[in-house]
Amino acid sequence: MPHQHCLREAGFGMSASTVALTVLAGLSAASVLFLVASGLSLVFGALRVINMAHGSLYMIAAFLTTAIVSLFAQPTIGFVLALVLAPVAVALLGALIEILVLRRLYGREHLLQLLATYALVLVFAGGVRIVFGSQNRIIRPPDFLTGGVSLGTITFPTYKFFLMFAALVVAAGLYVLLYRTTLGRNVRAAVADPELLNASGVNVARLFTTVFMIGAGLAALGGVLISPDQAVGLGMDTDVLVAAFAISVIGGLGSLTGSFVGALLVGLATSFGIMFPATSRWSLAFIFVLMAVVLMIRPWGLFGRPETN
Amino acid sequence: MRTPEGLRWAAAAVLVTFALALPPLAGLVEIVSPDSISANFTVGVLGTSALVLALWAISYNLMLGYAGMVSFAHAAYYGIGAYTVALLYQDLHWSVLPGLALSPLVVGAAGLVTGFISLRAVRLYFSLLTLAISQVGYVIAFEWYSFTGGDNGIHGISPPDFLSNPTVLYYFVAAVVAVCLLIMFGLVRSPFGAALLAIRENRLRAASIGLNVKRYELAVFTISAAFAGVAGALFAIYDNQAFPDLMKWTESAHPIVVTLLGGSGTFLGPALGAAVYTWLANSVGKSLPAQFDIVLGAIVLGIVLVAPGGLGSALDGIRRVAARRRGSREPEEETSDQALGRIDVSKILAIRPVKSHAEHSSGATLLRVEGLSKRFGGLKAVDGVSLNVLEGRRHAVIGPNGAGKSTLFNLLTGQIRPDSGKVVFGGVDITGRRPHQLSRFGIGRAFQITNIFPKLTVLQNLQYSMLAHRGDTVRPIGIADRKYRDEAMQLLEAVGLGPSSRLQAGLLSHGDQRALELAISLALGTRLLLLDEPTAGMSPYETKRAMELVNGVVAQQGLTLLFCEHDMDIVFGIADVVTVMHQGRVLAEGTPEAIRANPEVQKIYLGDIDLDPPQTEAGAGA
Amino acid sequence: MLEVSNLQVRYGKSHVVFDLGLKIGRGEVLALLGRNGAGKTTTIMGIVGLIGSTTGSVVIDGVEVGRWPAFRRAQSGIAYVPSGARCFAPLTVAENLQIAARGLAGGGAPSWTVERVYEVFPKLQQLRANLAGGLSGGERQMLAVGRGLMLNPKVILLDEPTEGLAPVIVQGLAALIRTLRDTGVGILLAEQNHQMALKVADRAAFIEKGRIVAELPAADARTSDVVHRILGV
Repeated sequence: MPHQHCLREAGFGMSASTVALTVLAGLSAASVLFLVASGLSLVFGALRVINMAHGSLYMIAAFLTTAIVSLFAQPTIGFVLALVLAPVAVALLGALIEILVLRRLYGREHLLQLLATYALVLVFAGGVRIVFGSQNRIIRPPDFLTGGVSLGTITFPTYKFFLMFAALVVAAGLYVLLYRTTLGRNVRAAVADPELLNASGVNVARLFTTVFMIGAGLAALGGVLISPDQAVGLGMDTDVLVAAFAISVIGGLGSLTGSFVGALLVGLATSFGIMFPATSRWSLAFIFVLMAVVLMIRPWGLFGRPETN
Repeated sequence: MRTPEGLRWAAAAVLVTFALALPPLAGLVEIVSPDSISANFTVGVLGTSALVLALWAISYNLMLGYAGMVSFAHAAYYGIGAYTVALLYQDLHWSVLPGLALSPLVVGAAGLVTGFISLRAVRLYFSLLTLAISQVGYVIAFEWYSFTGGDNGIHGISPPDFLSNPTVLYYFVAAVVAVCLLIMFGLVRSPFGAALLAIRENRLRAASIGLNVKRYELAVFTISAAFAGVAGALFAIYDNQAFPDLMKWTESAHPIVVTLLGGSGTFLGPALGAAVYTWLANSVGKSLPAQFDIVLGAIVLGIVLVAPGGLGSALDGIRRVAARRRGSREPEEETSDQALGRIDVSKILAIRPVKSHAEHSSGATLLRVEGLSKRFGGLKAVDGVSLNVLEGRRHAVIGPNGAGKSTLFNLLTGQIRPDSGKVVFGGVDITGRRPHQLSRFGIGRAFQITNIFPKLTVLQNLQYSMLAHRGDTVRPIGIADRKYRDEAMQLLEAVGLGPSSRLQAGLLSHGDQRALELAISLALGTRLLLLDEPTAGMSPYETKRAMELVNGVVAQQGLTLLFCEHDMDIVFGIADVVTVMHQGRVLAEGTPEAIRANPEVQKIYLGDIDLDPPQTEAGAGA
Repeated sequence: MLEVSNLQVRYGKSHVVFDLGLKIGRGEVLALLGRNGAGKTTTIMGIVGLIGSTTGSVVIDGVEVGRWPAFRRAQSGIAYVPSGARCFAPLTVAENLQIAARGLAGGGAPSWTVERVYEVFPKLQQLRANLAGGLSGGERQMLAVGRGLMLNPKVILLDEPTEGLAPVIVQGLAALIRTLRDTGVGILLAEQNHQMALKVADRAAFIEKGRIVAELPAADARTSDVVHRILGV
């Protein structure tokens, strides 16, 4: 009967295993998004700058990873090497960006900052194309992370579990950094009152560079980790950027917790959205509708704080 | 100083001539050197697309350059315009021409709705909201296969036969673009456009001269979207297709970059940028797409870091350097003292303001404040304040730091809303009214740090204030710069700013800006002038002259003055009545002499904390 | 210890402080008195290096720092305690103190440590794990002063520290200032509350509209009519 058919189509006949798979898929998607979004959010919180080139850094790291991995017969060695080298290299690139471009734009209108970082998007997109070509690249995960893990009736890719594990480790690491280290304390102080921090003897300019490097490193880490999971290609930069925007806005620009929760929301919403045929087409739109709603009623996001001028 | 009118018109003429002559020129080039790209290509692809890009970018600049709004949704409106033509062609089998005619209406409606939503947020959040909305639009176009053809888009839209010749098509597109540009140009020159400029220059001040800022922003958003829709419709006509990628948020970068290239400060600037961009995209961009991105990025970066006003402002910068070398005097080098010295108070006394207030102090209560309170978090900044300001009086409010004076003033000008209490002005209850409503009643604020429109000329500051105040800015027709010119010049002469009328107000010296403010207040027909610490940041000479000016104007024009000050010389030199505030409440009120003699008042200023010397020196650890 | 001369400070277009000069010796308390808007805060911020368009000479212990960025001036021994008991609200009391921790320039053990600050302000030790944003006004003021001390300053610039504080706490502050002075630290005390300031100060400078209009020993200032003229109604 058509009625029952629709209900089943809508997923009300979903089995526990389908639900579990959907949740896991959402969590693993959220993992990489969290890495990228947290970097964007951190940079905004401390420097009050929206870095449009954030996605580009992610893409550069992804391409670098594919390049490094293809140098070795064994994907494992290459991957581990990339895991260390790519974030470092991209962080250094980030330092250059902060010193040469952003420093001139602090305190100026947001539009100029957006335009300048957008210009970098163009430059990096062109650069990646020249260096790496325009073909999509696919690499396999390291051997010890291939295959799947069986949980009862379902099997879920090992690598995707690794993504979740990595995200948790990074989240914990960021927490420790922010709340248990001197640097983190200074970053939190910079978010609250950079002028007072200056007067307290901390070199705020250098701190900003460091924060930007960390943000870049996070984006890069996301890029490295996503490479064995999805095809790496041009256009990655803008796709991830707009997702990171949505997450950061929903969770709250400048909030680590916000990035975490926002990523979870977006990852799970997309995943569940895809599962139901009726909504699968609109699941993408849902995120942006949510972003729009948040901007209208609570622009500083779920966990953010209203900007005090 | 901006590029003189003559030069701009000349540049515009050159651009227009070039646009008109492109097809014959291209034909000529093809004859001369047959190996170069064909005339058809030049005209058909490059020329037509450049025209459409110019329209798109200029429509964007209505928001960016004229109203100061940064939107990321402009590609969405372009796309909707293209889809309008495409869908009408495909589903209703309409020719593209009615589709084209309908596009501004359809897209305008979309712009109205989405603009209304977007404007719920401000500044950066507004921009992000436009981004979100345009992404939603993109997803809809992408996913709604049955309606929009999904990611395939709609193809094979063929224009009517008479447009099959590339040259004819080019001129057709040129004609449509020209009509649109003329409409937009008329709009920006009109009083409506003047309101947009005022809003861009100083949003708060625009509100306080009587503009409902959100309404104007929504209007320009809608109009801008409508013309972007026309551009998109033209695209569908010359490119014969419509597809979702047109609406992607990254496409919105095109009008932004093009505007930046040509300069957002002039009307046709983006057209120049469109020409340059199209040429670049089809020369470098076709052969070396990656290098094109890098070059474009480098250019944008260069412009942002060096000359954010685009090529136009770079020209200005060069002119200024050249002028300095020639030794011509820049207005900002004159000191405030000299500027204020030029003010001839008697001249002011001689003129009559817009609304004549020849009656002197009538003793009637002009402003009555009853039990006004405002709390911020745990702090009661203003606690049950009541005071009466009589017409024609000069009423001072004094009190130590934290007494609540500024909060009181913000309440009176509608900047913030009171928690309780009443404010009655001229017999009318104005409690809780917004700033743009208050200026119509005749309450004006002056001598604040950002109280003028910096990039407008001195004359425009005055003219546009008058336009806004008199409600003329709803009219999209007419030339704003021609209105009220004589009245404005009269006022300017009186405050000594006659020679500076064509200078950008932001370049004036401090003293000159204060004089301009006073002129604006007079032009607005202000009856009650509110000055919040007017002499902050002034030298003793500036202070003396500024207050003489105020005193003179107020006295002769019968204005009522309510001001707060810390400089007691001024307070006692000018005020008829003094109200003393302390910790949010009114402590005392009376003539200056009475206040001076009041021991309570002396106490709050000179301190009532009397410390005993500490028992031991060793007190805190050593 | 601290010698300021030719200080000119501009806020945008406004020239706010004109050709200002002042001196603070070792173990000397200079009261900077003036009404609101007279330029006390602007002067101090100019000395500390937080206003970019400031020109003039600032010499601390013989070293010219007028061209140095603010954080280096702080490191060289100029501690700024801003008005309004400004603290890092999302940080704990302990973190607020630690953030300014600085060794002495020439090496050696710093005389001000977190423990020593707790000795002076036992309340802060109690509250050390609390977020600064949740403290009362008086507690935040103590924290702000404590943070200034953590810089091991040669000169400490206090901007209206008694504002909004209960008399008892003001007394405590006065005592603290005297103690600090005795350790050789120079102190600039900008105040509207002249009674307290003149009790602890050695000298008093009166500022009006961005200029120093009078400078005299505190004892004389207490009895002269300068106070009335410049601060009174």
